[in-house]
Amino acid sequence: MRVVVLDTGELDIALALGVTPIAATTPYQVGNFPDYLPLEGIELISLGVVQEPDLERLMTLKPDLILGSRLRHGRLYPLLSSIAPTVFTDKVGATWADNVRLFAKALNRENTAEALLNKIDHHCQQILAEYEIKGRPELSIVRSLQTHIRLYLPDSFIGSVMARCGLQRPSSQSGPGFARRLRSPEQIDLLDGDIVLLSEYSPKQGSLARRWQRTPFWSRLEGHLYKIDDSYWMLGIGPLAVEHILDDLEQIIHDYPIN
Amino acid sequence: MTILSTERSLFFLLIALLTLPPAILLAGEHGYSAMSLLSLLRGDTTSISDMDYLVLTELRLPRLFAGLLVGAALGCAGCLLQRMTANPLASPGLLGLNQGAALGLVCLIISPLPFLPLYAFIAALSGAFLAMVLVFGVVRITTGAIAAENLLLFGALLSTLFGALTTVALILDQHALDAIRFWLAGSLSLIERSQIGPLAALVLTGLILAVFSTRSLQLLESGHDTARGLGANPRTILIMVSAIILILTATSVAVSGPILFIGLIVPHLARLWIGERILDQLLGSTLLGALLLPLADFAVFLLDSDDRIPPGVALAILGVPWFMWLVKRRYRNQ
Amino acid sequence: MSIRLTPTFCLGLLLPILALCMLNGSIDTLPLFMEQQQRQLMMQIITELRLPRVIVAALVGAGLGMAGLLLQTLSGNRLADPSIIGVNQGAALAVVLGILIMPEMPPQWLPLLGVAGGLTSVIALWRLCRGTPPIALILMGVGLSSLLGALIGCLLILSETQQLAMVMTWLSGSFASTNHSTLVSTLVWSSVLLPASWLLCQRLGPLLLDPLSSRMLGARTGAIEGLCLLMACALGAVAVAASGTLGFVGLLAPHLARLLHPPHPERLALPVLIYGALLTMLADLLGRSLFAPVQLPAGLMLAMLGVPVFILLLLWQQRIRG
Repeated sequence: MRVVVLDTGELDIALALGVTPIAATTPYQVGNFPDYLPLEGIELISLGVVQEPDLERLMTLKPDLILGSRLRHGRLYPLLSSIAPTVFTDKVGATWADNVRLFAKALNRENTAEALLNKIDHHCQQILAEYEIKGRPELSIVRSLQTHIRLYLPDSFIGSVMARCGLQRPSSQSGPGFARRLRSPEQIDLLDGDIVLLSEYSPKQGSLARRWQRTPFWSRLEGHLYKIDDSYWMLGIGPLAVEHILDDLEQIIHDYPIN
Repeated sequence: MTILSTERSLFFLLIALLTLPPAILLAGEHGYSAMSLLSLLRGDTTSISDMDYLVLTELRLPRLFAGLLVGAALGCAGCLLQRMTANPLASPGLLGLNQGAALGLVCLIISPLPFLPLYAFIAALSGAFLAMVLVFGVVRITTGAIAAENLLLFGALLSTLFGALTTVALILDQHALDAIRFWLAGSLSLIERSQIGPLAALVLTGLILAVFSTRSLQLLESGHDTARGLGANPRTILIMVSAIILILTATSVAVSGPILFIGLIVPHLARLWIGERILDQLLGSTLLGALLLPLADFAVFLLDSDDRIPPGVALAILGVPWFMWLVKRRYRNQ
Repeated sequence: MSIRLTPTFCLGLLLPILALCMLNGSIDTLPLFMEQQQRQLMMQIITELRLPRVIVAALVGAGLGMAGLLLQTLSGNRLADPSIIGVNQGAALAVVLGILIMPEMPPQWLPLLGVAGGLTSVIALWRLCRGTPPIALILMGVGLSSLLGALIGCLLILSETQQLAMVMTWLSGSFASTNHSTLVSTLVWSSVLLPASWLLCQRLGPLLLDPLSSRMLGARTGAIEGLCLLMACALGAVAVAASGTLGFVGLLAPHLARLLHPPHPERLALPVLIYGALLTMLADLLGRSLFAPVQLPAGLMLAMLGVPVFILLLLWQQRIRG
């Protein structure tokens, strides 16, 4: 089956279901897929950037199925569905598990999908067991961008993974919503938790957290600080990313001292 | 209108400027109590908590000073530009100078060079310079005169071009998205204490040069021939004043991004309240700019304590109706 | 310099460029043509993807060129363009607000919202500018568009909606989502508006006179001014609905026409339509083929190429005038 995916989330899901797409768009720098995806030896044809996929190239590939999301490519649906059967999820991010089931149905891999989700849930339970032993430390998830710092709330992808595992978040990060932006280090207390997971988005262009680290405010953080990989914690939004995240979490919670 | 003498108005402005910083520090829900600030001044650091002390010295005060300096620089640059072009509608923002400087910063962000203050200043200066040369050069060459309408329209075109270039950069490389958005919006929230020294030095130099240039500008306003008769070279004066405008604009954009409309509103207020003479208007614009920007910054900070709204938005909401009123008044009787 | 606009000249200009746009794109169609079994695929690419795109681009470009000509004649300033007086920003603000208030809204509604926003901002501007000469309207438009731009920037910063990133690409003027239904609706609207605007151009003479002499001739300049503005808005709205916000066509097409043809507004209408169509088709072609597979929106290509080309045009005009 010749499958084309229109975004990284769909690419992650297809690969996790054992389907190798023939073409995909690249979200970041041209021709740059997130590092965590197992793409060695796979020849993926680039369809350009996510905002405007190259439809002519898509058509010459004569795909059997196009996977995408209404959120990103809703306006292109009439054209895409005239090229090949097109399956769109409604949203991306927190709905990743539903998206896996939807695409599995389209790819005829429903059993693979259930096995995959069961494996993830099983892994979650193992982590939760260890987590209970460690006295349920609160996990703060912080992403540093170039000019602001983002705290991820339950409606985000990473928030949904935390909730699925039953891990506890600091009260500053458990209200409804997608994310909260911070600009000023006077709000540094909102970052704190028993465990602080810090991810940096493309630090080559600068990272606000590094500026904050040079100020006396940073010393107010009391939690254990762990650096996490932005490519699967934040950029990747699919089951493969979740598996990597769970591996990291297992290690982090294992290293955390018993209270 | 009440008639105050120029000296008295300037004096009142100065008093207002001196009372503004303590007022801003005291006001709002995050404000400090007057007693604790007074004891801090006496060197007693026990009166407020460590956190409050840090916030005051690392964040509030640098931001306040940056607001004062940037506001003064933009007010002064706006006044010089309006006098130089003999046009009340001109301002660095509407002519695309601010956006040119911001484009320079965007180029620096996506280039492999690190984003250091010195590089930022050079990038902003070259961007603003490019914009100024383009706007004035093209309008001058193609229409034979520097008519305000054409300057404004061409400035608007140039801003569109800069916007398009930035969007292309974003489509091709999204890594810098956040930084670019920030630098295009204009904000005082990333000011660091170490930046204040160089900023103050550059802005004060620019302001002093501006004060010295008022005599030459006055010559220019009496007509190019008169100026030449009095032994001055109009071209040299124009280049000198443009250089001062560029330094002031680029310095402020390099620390805060483009903050529009201050350079438009402030010179008018200064002319109304202080006086028509160039030196009076220039001093008035500088002082008023220094007052207005920290106030706008403080106002948006009160509205949104997460500090996401750029002060430029507040100034645009204030400045655009003002600009429209000016246009209407200028053209009503034609 | 002036070239007579004979039918041969028009066709000789339009047809090769039309063919160029149909046969070129992100993939090279000619090799496909050689292989028997690929020929059907090539025809599919041309009829399904390129044909609607190219025709809509031509119609939108012609309309925007005309809107620019009307606004420039109306304001007496050759730098006026619908995109810098707030039509685009008004459309953009309405779309951004719509998405924030109703995130579940089907994407087909976005053009409608855009049209409503653009029209609202222009009507507001028109009412604000009563009793002032048209150049004041253009200047106030510049002010209005920077205010609306500031508000859009503010909304983008305050919201965490991912959808908006996509909207911004569409708002920079793209024909990527053009399909057969877009083609039909644009065709219907353009077949009414383009001839009507051409007729309107034949009545522009009195606007070029000074107010006193036109009053003595008994011309109702007020009515014509209103009609011009309405027509420019309607043409701009059709463009926004089809392709988002495109700038610079309204500026470049009239300038090209004035350079190459006798500068009477009555006789400029046809060349402006043709040059507007050509410029937009070419910008779209460059956007989809230059960096393929990366697709750049036509509006960005127009802005990037438009400003340098415009400056060159101005300089050239200056040299001709001496």
